[in-house]
Amino acid sequence: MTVTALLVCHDGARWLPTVLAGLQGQTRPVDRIVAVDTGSTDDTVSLLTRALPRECVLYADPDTPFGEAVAIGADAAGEHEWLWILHDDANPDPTALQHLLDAADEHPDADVLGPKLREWPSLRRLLEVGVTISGTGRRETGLERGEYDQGQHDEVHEVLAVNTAGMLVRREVLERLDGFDRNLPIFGNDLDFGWRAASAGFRTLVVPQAVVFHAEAAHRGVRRTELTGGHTHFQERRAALYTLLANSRAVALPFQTVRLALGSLLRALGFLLVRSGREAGDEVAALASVYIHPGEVRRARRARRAFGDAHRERVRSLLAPAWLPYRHGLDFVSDIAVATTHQAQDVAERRRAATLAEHGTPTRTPRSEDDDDLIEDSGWLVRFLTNPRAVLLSLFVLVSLAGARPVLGAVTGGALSPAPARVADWWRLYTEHWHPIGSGSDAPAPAYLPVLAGLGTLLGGRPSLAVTLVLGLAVPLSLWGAWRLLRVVGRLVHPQGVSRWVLLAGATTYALVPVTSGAWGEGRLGTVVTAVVLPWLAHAALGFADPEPERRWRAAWRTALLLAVATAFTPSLWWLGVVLGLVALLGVWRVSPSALRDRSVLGPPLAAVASVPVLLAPWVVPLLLRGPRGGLLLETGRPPSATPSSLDLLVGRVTDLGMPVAWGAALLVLALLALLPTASRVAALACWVVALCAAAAAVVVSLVPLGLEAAGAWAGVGVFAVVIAAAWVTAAVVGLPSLAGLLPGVAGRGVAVVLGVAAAALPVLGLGWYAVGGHDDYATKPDDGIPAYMAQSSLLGPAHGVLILQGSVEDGLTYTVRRGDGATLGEDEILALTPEDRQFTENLQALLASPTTTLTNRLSEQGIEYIVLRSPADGRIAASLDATPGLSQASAEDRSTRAWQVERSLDDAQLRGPGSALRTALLWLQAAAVLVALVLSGPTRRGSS
Amino acid sequence: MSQPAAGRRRTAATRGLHPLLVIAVLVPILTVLVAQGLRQPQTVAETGAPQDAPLTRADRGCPAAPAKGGILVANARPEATGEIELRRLDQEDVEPESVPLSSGATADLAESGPVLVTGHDDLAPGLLATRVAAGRLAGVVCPAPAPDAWFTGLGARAEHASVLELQNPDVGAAVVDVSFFTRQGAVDVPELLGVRVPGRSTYVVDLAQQVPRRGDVAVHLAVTRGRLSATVRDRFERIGSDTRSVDWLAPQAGPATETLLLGLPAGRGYRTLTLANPGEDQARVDLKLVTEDSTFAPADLKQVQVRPGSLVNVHLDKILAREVRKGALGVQVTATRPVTSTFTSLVHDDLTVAQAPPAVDDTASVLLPPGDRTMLVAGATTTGLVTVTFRDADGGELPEQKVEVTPGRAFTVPVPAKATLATMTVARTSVSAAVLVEGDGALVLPFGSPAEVGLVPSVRPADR
Repeated sequence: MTVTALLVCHDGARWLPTVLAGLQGQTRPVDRIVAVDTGSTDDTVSLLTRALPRECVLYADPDTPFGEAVAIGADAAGEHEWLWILHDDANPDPTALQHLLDAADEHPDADVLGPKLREWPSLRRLLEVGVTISGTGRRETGLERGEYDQGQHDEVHEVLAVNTAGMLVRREVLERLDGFDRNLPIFGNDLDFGWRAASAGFRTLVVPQAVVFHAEAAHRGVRRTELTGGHTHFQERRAALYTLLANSRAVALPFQTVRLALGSLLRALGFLLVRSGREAGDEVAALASVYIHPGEVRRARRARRAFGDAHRERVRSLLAPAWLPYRHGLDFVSDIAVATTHQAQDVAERRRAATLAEHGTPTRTPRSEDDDDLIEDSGWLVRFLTNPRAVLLSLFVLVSLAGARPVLGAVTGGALSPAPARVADWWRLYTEHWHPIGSGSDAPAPAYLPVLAGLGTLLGGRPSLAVTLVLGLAVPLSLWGAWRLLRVVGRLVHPQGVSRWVLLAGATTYALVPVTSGAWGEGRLGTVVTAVVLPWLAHAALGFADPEPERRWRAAWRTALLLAVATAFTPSLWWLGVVLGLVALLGVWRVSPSALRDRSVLGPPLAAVASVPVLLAPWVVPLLLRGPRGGLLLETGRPPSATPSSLDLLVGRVTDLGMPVAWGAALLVLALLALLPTASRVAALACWVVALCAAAAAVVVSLVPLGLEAAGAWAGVGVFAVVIAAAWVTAAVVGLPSLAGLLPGVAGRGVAVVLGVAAAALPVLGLGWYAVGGHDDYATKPDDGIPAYMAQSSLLGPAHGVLILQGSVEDGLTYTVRRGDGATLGEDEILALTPEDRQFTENLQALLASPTTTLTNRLSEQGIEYIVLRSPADGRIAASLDATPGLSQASAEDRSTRAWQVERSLDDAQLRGPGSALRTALLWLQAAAVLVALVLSGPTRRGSS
Repeated sequence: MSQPAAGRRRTAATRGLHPLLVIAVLVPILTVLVAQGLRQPQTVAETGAPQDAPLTRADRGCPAAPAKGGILVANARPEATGEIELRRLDQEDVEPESVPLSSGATADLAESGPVLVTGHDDLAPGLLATRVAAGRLAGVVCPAPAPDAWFTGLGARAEHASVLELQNPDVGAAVVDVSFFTRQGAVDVPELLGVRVPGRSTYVVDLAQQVPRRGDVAVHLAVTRGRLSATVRDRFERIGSDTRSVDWLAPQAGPATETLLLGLPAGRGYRTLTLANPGEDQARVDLKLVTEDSTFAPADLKQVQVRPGSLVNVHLDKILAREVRKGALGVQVTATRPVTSTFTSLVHDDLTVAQAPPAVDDTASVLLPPGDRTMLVAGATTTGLVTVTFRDADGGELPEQKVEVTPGRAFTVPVPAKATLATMTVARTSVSAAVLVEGDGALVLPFGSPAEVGLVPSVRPADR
């Protein structure tokens, strides 16, 4: 066997001496070395001419594609059986060729052989042991990123392709396949070549015993050529798309074309989300470059047709499995999620590190003695079983899930209206300007709808599942958030952080607040969601204290997004955000007035608060422009709104369905005691100031007349009770650990025991109370007392409304108009914001006073098909409607309920409202604002893969 | 923070209170104080008082007379004039007849079948109609349609047979549930649940035939569809002789704890007070007699116990034969639970039914059949003045009477011989009043207040 080594060079002077030495030091010497230089501007040529005979150094233009360079080299290689292709940045191990030829000997059917590529200069990390391509064009090596070579992949096996760096190929095969595709100047030609070889029935083997160290200079952007320019990613993607389209089977081509186009756009979006705009641009440009030149692909396909389709099955087995791209997608999303949730958690460490850097005192980063992590999962079973806190936390979560059993299924009751049947109803409600509910309304849909609708969509279009999930996971999610928040707060206050036991008590206590406040039991979805979001929001806001300006800005956008979510569910919270932002800035001004001159100190909190109205524009702007402006403070959910008393507010109770006052009072006492230790007094006091601001905000908000009182809708005050409870818990966690140290000896230990018992009793009692159940208003079936056939009919369209009357002549008659599947979650706020339709009321009044056909006709014009007089029906009203022309008696389910049908055919003319360009614009604005905030708040992508 | 600054602060702290400590005391106090300012909104409960609407139509359902009879029709508002509509309900597809009614006049119509009297527009408010039987005195105020009606002391046997007569004034059918209370308790009669009365027709339920029972019964009608006016024709018959007597029962509004039954004909005979307790608790009932001097309980008048859902006949033959002679004009019923009551006299073989007239605090009227008439007024809540005006059949005004009424006493007012319509105006108090007509037998007719305006419930959107 004779071998010609073919070295393709371009500005490789950095690596060339080593490469040439490696080439010349082979245990199985090569028979001839041919080097092709493609217009190097460094010392490459002189290095080559010094090392090789003059006739073995060939020259080509700088824009010569890799395939062309190989062809030039091959022509000059002489009649040797094998060609060993090497790059100027690929240094072969001394035994590389030996092993390759041994394998060729052992596998006479092998036509292409490749070595194991290891990273240069680390020499240990694996780069490639053969390579294949996935359906999305991703280069698949089957290796973990940065995986060390420990001989774990040392088996000779067949692969789709091997890298051209170190590729040993039969000269005859190279010629049969017409070399490398000239349309792939640098990247991806190995994959295309391997694919073509496999299709033509040739065999490619990877020989891991043969090692080549590869610097990947072009891929890493260390070397720039005219061919790659500055856009490596563009070239790689273009090559991948081209390879896939040129080699896919004809049957799969249309699907592949569409899939690659959509996939590329999705990838571009993903790059945008991690603020890699350059890669996003390359992605789109590569797509455009391939798709606007269909002729190139057509020509390539025509050339490949010569090999036939005989080896289809073998090629398929060598390609990456179909599920692999999805796995990568999942990995990407989870990476982003982890990075996003982790990015603020070490603000305490970074502050400390910044202080240390300033003062230059070298100390280790303080870690507490029991440094386990709630979300770390290495060696999880052992860690879990040997960690009593982990066991207790799991028990807590399990019992809390059992306590959430009333919300299983389609749940309604209290302030919670049933979820609509389809998630599309939520999207429609949110995007439409005019809602055909009641007598028709142009009030803006509540701001929380897109959050719920998004969740419902993710859950396969099941809105009720979204509601169940939010309510059912309220306690575990609050626990998670509270744990993260309290841990960071603990580290900010105490250099060693607070004990994990204290964290456990604090986090579990807070986790129960959504329930013990009674908000959960009364179906106050808004307050529950805000209680869940609150610790995450506070955690994000701690980022304002980060020493790095860039992180402070990122914290701003994160805070803005979370505050927007919380405001969407509990509008009055935004005003507390404003107050707290001002108080915080006042504090900064007091401590260091000069800091406020720094834009990255003043800016982030202001941006966080100010961007919320933009993020919620489709809800805020209509309320500001058309009113009622009271809607900006309105408590979400079905009226009547929660009305906690002063005492309730102080003990974190929203409604009477909450835990008895004593529980919250104990929490208040602990928060008071937390003020005693001087070491943590500033932190505890900060919590108290938050509570004071919340109480003040609650009072101010409760005094604002919304003008919606007739509908039983008032300003949301309940959320402030939750904020106050959160402040108590935080104060207790930062203050109480130092309290035991105040008194020496036995007295101190006694205090510690008493506090420990009290701190443990709160979550235990709360959890027991929750698990026993019976503190809720939930029902699985909404009952609005109308016959089933009417409910079915009303689903036919908005014109099939049911007018539901209740009351008597003496006490007055109240009415509601039921359309579709009744007032569902999200419609309550619209109905509350919609002023009374005086004309409808007057028409009804007139109908009851002196019924005429004109009046009943007007009912049908307003989209009323049935009238129901709920049990117990007042006989006089019933008799009057019985005698009304244009109404015919309809059957009701029980004798004490009465029903009529409007005889005239239905018409929903009055329910059809105008569209609104403003609403559309606001929706686009919101989408753009959310996207921008997401991108700005996302973690930075460091380096490229 | 530099060391010297901290040192200064510590020195200051030893001298006075540390500012942080002061804040740590002030902030909690402030928090609690501020929270006290929280306003708890109260539900804005609208009173929802019904509104007056002009009454444009009034219906009165008059039952059929056993043999011959007539119907008295008038309007309590003397200025009202026009034509009333008379629809015979025992004849199908017959156009209603219009009868002119001049100002203040009383029309005496010779109609013996079931008749629907309707007043439109001006004649609707204050429409009065009374069925009078020819022969021995019997009659009933023709009732307006009502969703609920109670009748007490009905019989469902040969010697005491009651016939329920239901009249539907509207075009559409009406449906009614009839429930029964007997001495043994409430009884379900499935065939009388959901009784359908076709439009513009009369429907008769003969209790003796459909639900024969030995004891007396009380009946509750609940109209579940449409409108119905209901009366009961009550008949006593002495088996084996040709003695029989008929009278009507008008519907009662509902059970009450205080009832005043006026009109006790004098003479020998049977006198029975029937009490029904439709509630779920036992009722203890005290009876007192009302005279022109006082209200008292004779020693031999015992407290009556009425079991839940049942009915009791209290026989007062002896006591009342004595006390009516001495001047008793009515029976006052005071119960611990709401009861319904009817007083039935069979004096000189003539049946007279006395029921509780409604309490009146403004005006009330009654049509007066010929005979020896005495107006009885009682049940005044405070001292007040009752002015009674009388009109003759042509609408001519007769001398008015004024009576100063006081609580605890009954008052009689003489009725001019020519009077056919009596209207009383009550000032400063509230009274119940009835007219006792005596002659060939006796008849008691209560003063009633026909609706003058339509009540329309106030309508508003629900709080949800």
